[in-house]
Amino acid sequence: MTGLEALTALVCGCASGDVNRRVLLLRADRLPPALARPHHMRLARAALDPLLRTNRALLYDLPDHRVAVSWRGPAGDAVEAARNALAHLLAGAPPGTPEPDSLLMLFALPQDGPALLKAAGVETVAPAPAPAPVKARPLDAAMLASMEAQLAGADVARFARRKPVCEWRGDAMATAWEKRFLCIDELAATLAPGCDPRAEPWLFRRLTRTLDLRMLSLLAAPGELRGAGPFSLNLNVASILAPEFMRLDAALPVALRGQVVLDVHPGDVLADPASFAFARGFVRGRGYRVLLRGVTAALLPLLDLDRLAPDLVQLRWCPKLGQLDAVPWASGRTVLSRADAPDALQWGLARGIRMFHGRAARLAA
Amino acid sequence: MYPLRNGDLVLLCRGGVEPLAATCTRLFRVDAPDPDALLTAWTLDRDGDALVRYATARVADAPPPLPAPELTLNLYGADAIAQLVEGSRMSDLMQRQTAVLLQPGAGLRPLFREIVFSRTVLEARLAVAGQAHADPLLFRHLAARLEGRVIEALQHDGGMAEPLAPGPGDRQALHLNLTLAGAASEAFARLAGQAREAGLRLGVEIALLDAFADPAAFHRARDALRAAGVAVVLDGLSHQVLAVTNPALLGADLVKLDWHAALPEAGLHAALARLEPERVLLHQADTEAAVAWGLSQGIRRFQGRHVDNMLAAGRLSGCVAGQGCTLRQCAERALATGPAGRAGCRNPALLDGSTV
Repeated sequence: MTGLEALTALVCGCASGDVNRRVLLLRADRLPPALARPHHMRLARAALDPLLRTNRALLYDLPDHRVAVSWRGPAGDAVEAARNALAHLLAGAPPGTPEPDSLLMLFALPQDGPALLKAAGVETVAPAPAPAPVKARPLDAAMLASMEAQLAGADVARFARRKPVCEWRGDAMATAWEKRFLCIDELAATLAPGCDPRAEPWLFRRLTRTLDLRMLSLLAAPGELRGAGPFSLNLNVASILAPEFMRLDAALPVALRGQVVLDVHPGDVLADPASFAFARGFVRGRGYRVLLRGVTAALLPLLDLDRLAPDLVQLRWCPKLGQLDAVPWASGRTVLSRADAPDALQWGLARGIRMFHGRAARLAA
Repeated sequence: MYPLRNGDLVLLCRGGVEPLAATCTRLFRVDAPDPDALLTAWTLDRDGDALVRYATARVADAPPPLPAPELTLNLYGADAIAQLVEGSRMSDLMQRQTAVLLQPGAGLRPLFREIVFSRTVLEARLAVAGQAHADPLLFRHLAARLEGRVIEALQHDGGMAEPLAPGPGDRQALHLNLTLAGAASEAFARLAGQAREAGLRLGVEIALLDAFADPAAFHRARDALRAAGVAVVLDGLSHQVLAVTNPALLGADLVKLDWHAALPEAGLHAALARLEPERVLLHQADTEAAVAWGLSQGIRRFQGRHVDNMLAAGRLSGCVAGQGCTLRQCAERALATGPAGRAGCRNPALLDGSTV
C-alpha cells in the first residue's frame, strides 16, 4: 500500500467511524529549488520527528516529497517543535519562499479529510482531464443504422471495459464487484467517426439496447466467465427480457449465481414501469440484484424508491447531493458513483454509505 | 420454462404456484380485462395428462406471427420518413385537439387547443414505407426532429388555420409539444413574441420522460417559459408512473394524466391529492366512463375523443348550416389543422369558435 493509499484509508476510516485523528502535512513540494536539495529534504523531514513519539503516530510518504504524520490526542508541543525546526531551516531563505504555515499544514479528522487528501496530492495522481470535445455531428437514424449493421459482425470484445465498485470494510476499501460495460465513446469513434452518439437521446437509447444484446452475447460465450468474479451490467429493461439474457443466465457459472448486479436507468424504468416490475421479480427469483443507477440529487426527491423497490440504488455524486444531511434511502443499499474527489467519499462514509464507484474510491482500495 | 407453438409459456416447478399466480395476475391486470383467464395451473401427479393433451394439441396450432421486421430497416425507413415529412406541408401531419373545463351544471368551457403530430398520419406513412411496427423510440426521435418545423409552420403556414392572424374576441390558447431544447430555442422565443403581439396565449407541453431525464433543465425551462407568459404543462403521466413518482414536485402549471381503464383501481388517491386535482387534466378521456371517473376525483379539465364529441354535439345543435353533418364529421373537421381536413364545413367560424 502506498502512503497516499494508506492516508486515504485513514481518512475513510475516520469518516465512517467518526474517529478523531490529527494530521500534520509537510508540503516539501512547495520548497523553492534552492532549498529543495537532498540534504534540505532530509532536514525538513526530520522536523516531523517530534510527532513520531505521539500516541498512535503513523508516517506517510506521499507524492512529490510530501510527508504526513497522523496521531491521536493532543500534541501541541510536538507540533510547535516541528514548526520551530522548519522555521530554523527556512531562516535566511530568499524572498518569495512560501510562509511556514503553507509548508506545514495541520488537519483535524474526520472533518478536514477532503482538504487533507487534496493537499496530499490525490488530485495530482488523477488522470489528466479529457481533451476538449471536438464539435461532432449528432447521431442520425442513417448513421445509427450503419452502426448497427457493423455491430452485427464486429468483435465488440475490444470495447469491453471493467471498473471496480468498491466497498468500505471497516479498515480498507475492497472491490465489491466489477462493472462491465462496452465503451460507447470508443465504439462510436471507430464505427461512426466524428459523430456524437449522445446528441439524440432517443437514438442513443436505441443504440444502448443494441449494445446490451452484444454485451450479453459476449458474456454468454463459452469460457468467457470462467474464473470471473462478481460483476454488474448496465441493461435496458427490454434487454433483461430478451433471449440473450436467458442465454447468459444459462451460461452463468454456479459460483456467480447471486453475485451479479443488473443496473437499470430510471428513464428506462419510467418509460415502462410494468415491464420493470415484471423484470425485477423475474431476475430476483434467479438470484440477481437490481440496481437503479444514475439517480441524481435533482431526481432523488421525484422518485418513490420504496415503491420502485430496487435492491440497490446508485446515487450520482454532485455538490448538490452534498447538501443533504442524510441519505433518504437505506444507506447500506446505496452506491455512491462519481466518487472521484475525496469530499464525495467523506460525505458518503459519514452518512453510512459503504459502496463507492469512482477514482477516489479506487485509490483507497 | 417451455414455450409452446402458439406463444404460451409452460413453467414447470416444484411447490405451490399460488404466489407466482398472484404476481402474474397483478401484472396482467394492467392490460388484460380478465387476468385469471390467462393462467392455468396443473398438478402433474393429478392432472398431468390434461397438460400433455393441451401441449400436444398446440403442436397442431399455426405458429405465432413473425416478430416485427428487422429493426435496421426501420431506422432507414425513419430517416426516409423524416425527409419526406420535412418536404411536406405540416398542416397535413398535424391535428389540434381542444381541452375543456367541465364544471358540473355549468357546461363546457374550452381552455386551449393543443397542436399535435397526428400519430395516425405518421404511422400511416411509416406503414406505407413498410415500417408498420416502427420502434416507439424512433417515433419520439422523429417528433423531436420535426419540432422546429412545427414552430416554423405556426409562424408562416396559413394552413394551420392561421392561428397567429389577429382574430375576434377571446381566442383559445394554443399548446405545443416541445422538447426541453425546443422550448429553449430562439425559434420558439420568436414565436412566443409574435403570439404576445397577436394577443394569443401559448402553452408548452413537455413530455414527463424528458423532464425526469433532466429535472434541473426542466426547472430552468419552466421558469423561462413562465417569465415569457407561457404556460408549462407536463405531458404523458401514466398511472403506472404516478404510482412510483412524485411529479407534483416538478411544479408544472398543469399535469396531463393519461386515462386508463386500470386507473380507478390503481389505489392512487394519495398521489392524486398530491398533484392537486385543479392542476390535473385527464388526457385521452375517450369515453364517458373516463370523464365520470375524473369528475368523481375532483378533476375538472379534460381532453380526448369523448370531449371532442361533446364539443361537436354542442356546435351541431347551434349550427345554422349543420343540416346533413354527422357528429363524427364535425368532430373530425375540428381536429384538422389544414383546409383539406376541414372541407365540407359550411360554418368554419363556428368550427374555430371559442365558445360552445
